[in-house]
Amino acid sequence: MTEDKKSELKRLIIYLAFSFGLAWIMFLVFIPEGKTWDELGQLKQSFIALGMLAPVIAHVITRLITKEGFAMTGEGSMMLGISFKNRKWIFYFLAILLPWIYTELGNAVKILLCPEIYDPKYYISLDIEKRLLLLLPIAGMVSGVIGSFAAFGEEGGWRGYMMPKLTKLFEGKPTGKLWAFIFGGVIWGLWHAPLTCIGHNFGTEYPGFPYLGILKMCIFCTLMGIILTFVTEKSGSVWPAAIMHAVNNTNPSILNGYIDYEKVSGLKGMLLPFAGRMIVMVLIIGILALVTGRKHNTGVKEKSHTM
Amino acid sequence: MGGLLYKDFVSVRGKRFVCFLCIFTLIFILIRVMFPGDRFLDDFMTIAEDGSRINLIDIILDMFAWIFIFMNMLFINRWTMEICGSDENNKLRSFFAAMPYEKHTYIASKYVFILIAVYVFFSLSQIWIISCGAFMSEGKARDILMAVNAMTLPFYSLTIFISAIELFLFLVLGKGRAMMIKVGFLLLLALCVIYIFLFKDYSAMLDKIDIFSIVQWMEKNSFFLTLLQVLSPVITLLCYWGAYRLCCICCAGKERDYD
Repeated sequence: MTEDKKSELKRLIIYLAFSFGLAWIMFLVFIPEGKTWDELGQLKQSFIALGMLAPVIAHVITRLITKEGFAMTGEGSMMLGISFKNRKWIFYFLAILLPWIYTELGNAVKILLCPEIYDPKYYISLDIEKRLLLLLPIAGMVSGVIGSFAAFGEEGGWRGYMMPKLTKLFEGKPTGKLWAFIFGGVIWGLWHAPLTCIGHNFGTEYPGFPYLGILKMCIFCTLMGIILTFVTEKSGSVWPAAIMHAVNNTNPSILNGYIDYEKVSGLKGMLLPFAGRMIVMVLIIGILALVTGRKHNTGVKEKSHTM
Repeated sequence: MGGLLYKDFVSVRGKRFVCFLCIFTLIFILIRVMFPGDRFLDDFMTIAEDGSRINLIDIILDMFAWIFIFMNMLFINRWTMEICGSDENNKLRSFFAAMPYEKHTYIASKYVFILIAVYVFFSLSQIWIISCGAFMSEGKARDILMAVNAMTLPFYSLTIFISAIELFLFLVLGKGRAMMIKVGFLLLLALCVIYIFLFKDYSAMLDKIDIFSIVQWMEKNSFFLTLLQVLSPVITLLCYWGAYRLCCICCAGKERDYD
C-alpha cells in the first residue's frame, strides 16, 4: 500500500469512528430499552432520525482534524456546489423522479409476484382519502426536495467523503470500483444496525431477526449506494444524492395504498416488501452500467480513431 | 457565483450568525431533553378553558419554536436589505459590472443567497419542531405543535414570496426608493390595523379566532392542507423565478455581457 493510500485509509477510519460514534450514541441514548420502532411514535422517530446528520458532522470534524480544507467544489472537495451546466440538471431531475419510478414499479412487481397482497380497499384501513393517495407521490417529491436536510446529513458524509476515499483506496484494481461499492454499502448498512435491531425498515416479525434484517439493509444500501454515487459523480455534487435519498425515504407510491403485507407470512412475507424495489433497482443499475459502459467504449474508439 | 455568494455571506456576518444559531439550537435541544413534558406532569400542569390539562413547559417551548420561525422571517427580510444595501453603499455594483462575470450572475447570486438562507432556516425550524415534539406530553400542546408544523412550509413560502418582491425593488430601484416603498407599505398596513382597533369591533373578531377549532379544522381538511403544502412551495418558487427573470429584464442596461 502506497503512502498516499495509507493516509487516505487513516482519514477514512477517523471519519467512520465519528460517523458511527455520534449516530450510535444518539440511537442508544434516546431509544428507550425494549421499545420497537413502531412503539416509539412518529415524533420520537423523527427525533431519532436526526441521527442522520451524524455523517455530515463527522465529515466536517474529520476535515478539521486532517486539515483537508473545506473546498466546496472540485477534486477532494466537500462537493457542495450546484451546477446545472453541461446537462447536469438532468441528474437533479432524475434524483427527484427516479425514486417514485422505482418505488411504483417495485410495488407493481410485488403485486405481480404475489397477487394476494393486492387489496383495492386497503387505503381505507390506513385512514387515507383516495384523492390524498393520488397526491402522495407528488407530496413526497416536494417534501423530499425541500426537507432534504436530514438526507443531506447522510449523503454529505457517505457520498461526500466516504465513497471518494473508498474509490481512491481501491484505485488501480480492475474490479476496484465494485469493491468500493460493496464496502461502502456494507458500512452504510451496518451504520443502520441499531435501528434495524428495533424494527426500523423491516419490522421485527421476520425469521432471522435482526441479523437477516441487517444483511438485507447492507444489500439495499449497496444497490442504493451505486445509484447515489452515480448521480454524485456525474453531477459533481452531493445534492442530487441528498434529494434522491430524501424522496426515497418518503416512499412515494400510489400503490402503497393497495398493498397489504399482512396477507402473506413466513419467508415470502419477509422477502416480498424488499424484493420488488430491489429487482427494479438492479435493473436501473444494469441500465446505468450499460449506458456508462457504452459511452466509455465510444470514447475509447473515438480516441483510437484520432490517434 | 461562489465568490459573490461568499461576499454576501460575509456582509451579513454569516459566520458569527451560523455559530450563534448552532449554539442556540443545541441549547434548545438540551433544555427540551432535560425538561421533557411527560416527566414534570404534576408541577407544571394548568387547566385550559375547556377543562383539559395542559403542560406549561410544552406551551413555553412551543412558543419558542413559534418565535424562532417568526424571527427567521425577520432575519431573511433584513438580509435582503443588507446584501443589496451594502453593495450600493460600497459602490460594488459598478465594480462587479467591470468583472468578467456572465450576464445576470450578480442578480442570480442575490436570489440564490436568499433561497439558501430560507432553506437553512427551514431546516433549522424542522429540527426545532422535531426536538420540541419528541419530548412533549400528549394533549393540546402537541396538537398546536402539529398545527405549527403543518403551517411551516406555507409560512416559508410566504417569506420567499416577500423576498422575491423586495429583491426586485432593491435591485431595480435602489436602496433609497425601495426602502421608501417598503416603509410606505408598512405604514399603510399599520394604519389599517389602527383603523380596525379604533373603528371596528375587534374583540368580536378575536372571539371568533379559536386555536383549538383551527386545529380541528386542520384535522378535518387534511387533503386541502396537503394540497397547500405541495402547491405553496411550487407556486412560490415559480413566482420567485419569475421575479428573477423580470429583474434581469429591468436591469439589462446595468449589466455587461462577457459571454
